[in-house]
Amino acid sequence: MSKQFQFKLVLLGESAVGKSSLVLRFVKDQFDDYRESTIGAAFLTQTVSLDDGTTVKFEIWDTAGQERYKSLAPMYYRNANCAVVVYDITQTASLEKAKSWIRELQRQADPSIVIALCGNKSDLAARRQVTQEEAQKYAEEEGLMWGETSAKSGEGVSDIFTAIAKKLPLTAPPSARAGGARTGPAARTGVDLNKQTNAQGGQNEQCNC
Amino acid sequence: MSFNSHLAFNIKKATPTTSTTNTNTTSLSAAPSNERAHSKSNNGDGGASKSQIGADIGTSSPKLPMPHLASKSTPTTSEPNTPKFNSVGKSTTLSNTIPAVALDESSNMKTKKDSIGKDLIGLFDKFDIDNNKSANKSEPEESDDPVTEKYKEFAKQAKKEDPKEDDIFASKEKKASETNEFKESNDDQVTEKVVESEISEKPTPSSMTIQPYIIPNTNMAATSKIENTGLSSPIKSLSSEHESEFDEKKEEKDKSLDDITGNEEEQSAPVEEYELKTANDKTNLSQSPDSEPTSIPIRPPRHRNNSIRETQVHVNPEEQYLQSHKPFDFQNFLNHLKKKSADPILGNKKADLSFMEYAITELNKIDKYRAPRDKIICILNSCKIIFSFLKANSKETNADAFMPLLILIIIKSRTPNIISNIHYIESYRGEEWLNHGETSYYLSSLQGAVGFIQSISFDKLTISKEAYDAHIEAWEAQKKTFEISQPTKLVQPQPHHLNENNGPQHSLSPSNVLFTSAEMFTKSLSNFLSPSPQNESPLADQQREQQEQTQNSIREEEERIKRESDKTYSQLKEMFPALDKSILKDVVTMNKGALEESLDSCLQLVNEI
Repeated sequence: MSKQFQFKLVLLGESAVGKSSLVLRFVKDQFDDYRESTIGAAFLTQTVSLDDGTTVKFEIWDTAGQERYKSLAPMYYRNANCAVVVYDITQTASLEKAKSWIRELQRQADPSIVIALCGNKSDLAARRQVTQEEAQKYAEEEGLMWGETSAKSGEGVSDIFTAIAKKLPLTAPPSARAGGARTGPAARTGVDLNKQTNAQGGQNEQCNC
Repeated sequence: MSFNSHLAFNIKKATPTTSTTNTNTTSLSAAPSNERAHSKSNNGDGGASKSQIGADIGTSSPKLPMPHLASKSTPTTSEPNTPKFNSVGKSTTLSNTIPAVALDESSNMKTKKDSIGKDLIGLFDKFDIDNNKSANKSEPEESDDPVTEKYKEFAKQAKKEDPKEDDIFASKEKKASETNEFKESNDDQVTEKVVESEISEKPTPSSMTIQPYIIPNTNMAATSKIENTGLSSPIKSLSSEHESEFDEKKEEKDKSLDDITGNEEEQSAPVEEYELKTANDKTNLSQSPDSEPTSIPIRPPRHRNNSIRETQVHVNPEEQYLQSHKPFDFQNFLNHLKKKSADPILGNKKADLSFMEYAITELNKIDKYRAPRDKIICILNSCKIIFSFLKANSKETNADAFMPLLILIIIKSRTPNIISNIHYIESYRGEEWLNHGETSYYLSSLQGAVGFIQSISFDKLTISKEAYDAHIEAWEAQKKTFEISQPTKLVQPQPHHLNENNGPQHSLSPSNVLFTSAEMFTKSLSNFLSPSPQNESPLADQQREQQEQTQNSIREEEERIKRESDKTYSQLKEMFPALDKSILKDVVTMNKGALEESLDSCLQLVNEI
């Protein structure tokens, strides 16, 4: 009855928008008993239970937000099932940055990736620079999920992750999806050991050295 | 314990100065031999079973560049680091479990002992067993504040073990004569039967270990100067003595070095001072603070004698022993780190360096394992150390803080074949493991960091353009001097040299292909036999000389062959005017100019015609 799915979620966004705080809030607030310990907050896991009894386990990959590490991002979002692009509602520039991340994801990530745009620091609404309407409109245009959160108060944090869990295709087992992701831009150049053994079968007879 | 001995060993290797404080009789004998072999035999298992040493030598070679780097990059700063390492070593003396960080168990290096059964790093387990067997031997080394009794006991043991060890090394290496020299020196130490002398001896290996990594000879002299100025005069002369011994071994007449080391005649003098010093140490140990002003002040602060004296005062040996063998407390370790580093990330140099040493050591292990999973574990362990450092500094353990440190570690570690290792992991690690889980995150981080380093440019750095240019310029200059001082160091020039010398013969005939390939084979053999040129080991110069000699002899041989060939060719040309000249040339070349054989070949040819 209860199926468990595992998804890779990558966090993107400018530095200091609160990516890590957001995910820490999400991970530490709920299901603390179930939480697996990880080396650091750069990689975290959290399980979300849905109404129908399925559980979705998120593997949350944090990324370095600094501009200079932008080139590292493809390493992180390859094979990702979902991405949360975070911006700071008190910084217009951070939304612009988020938009560029979204463009990059749409262009280079797995086409089936679920992208959520997340406006963080909603507790600082007084200093708001990005209106809800503006962000929501953009999200609708791009076909993204959207929500505002506050990592500080915890408001909206679990909602956005639950929404992502619901939106993710829960039909196929994750391993199959992971396999499908290989055909993406960052396709893996693995080594088929079986194939090699067969191909070299004849030669091996000649030389056993 | 397995982890500890391993860790301690690695730290020692990474910072040569550390080994000086932790060495005792066995390690003294082991360390120099290791230096000679360019191998990284564990000091701890120096006196252990033969097979272990063999295995160690076998597995250790890929890691070689690491100490070289460590000492090169931090030649001076590593010195003040020592006390820190001591204390860390103390806290890590016996790690059984770390409740504080109950991480991924199978991969947690700190829980290695617990997970022997399922642990991937089987090598360490082997270590563990062997160390347990030779517990008596390795323990004094690990325990940070060995007591006099222990030392004496140990000295006796070492006396027993040393010849055996030397035999092993003699068989392992072809430098029996050197081993004997060390044997003698060891015997000297043991016959003195004064344990403290070993402590006073400690600076010696430090100058020896650092020395090989300095490229030009003048630098070498300069560093040893620096080294020596920090030391007390008896030690100074002592270390000089060792250096000169060392020089003898290397058969390297470094005049600039002689200026400091003095001549070999001095060898007898330091021995006296040596004994004097041991007397001082004795008085220190018997708690006579009066002698302190006279004997101690000249001693460098990094010496452990002080701590030994203190423990001698307050703690009895058994208590001390127990204390040093209590279970490893990770929280303590963290607190310790915390105390050391007041500032954020690169704040406290000592803590920073030590954490980096650990991380580098772990990362460098990647090249020593075969299984992709084991390699990943090395990455994970390194990342864990970075995170524990971040935690200890009350930093957020997110990617923003982690990534720069990872990049720094990768740059500092200069792990051999890191990109190949990553490709290897990618190719052979099981797909599902590669795409999911924590390990994949850190593998991706490493890949990203390596990619970042590869594509690094000025605009990604936070330094000014001027500083950047200055650094690049300095680096290029350094590189140049390095290349000049190491003319035969690179393997690549050799094919070039081949072409130069065989130029005339190349034009002779196509058969020179055979000839050339044969010679290339010889050369590759000689290359293979001579150690990797990347090591700035004490014997590098000697080997270079040998290499040069072989090359010279090869060159001479080539010239001789060429002369003979010309002679034979002209003779044969007269004898067989009917034969095609090019065929004649071929024949001569094939027979390497030997007249009789060429003649036979020609006769055969003529008969066939």
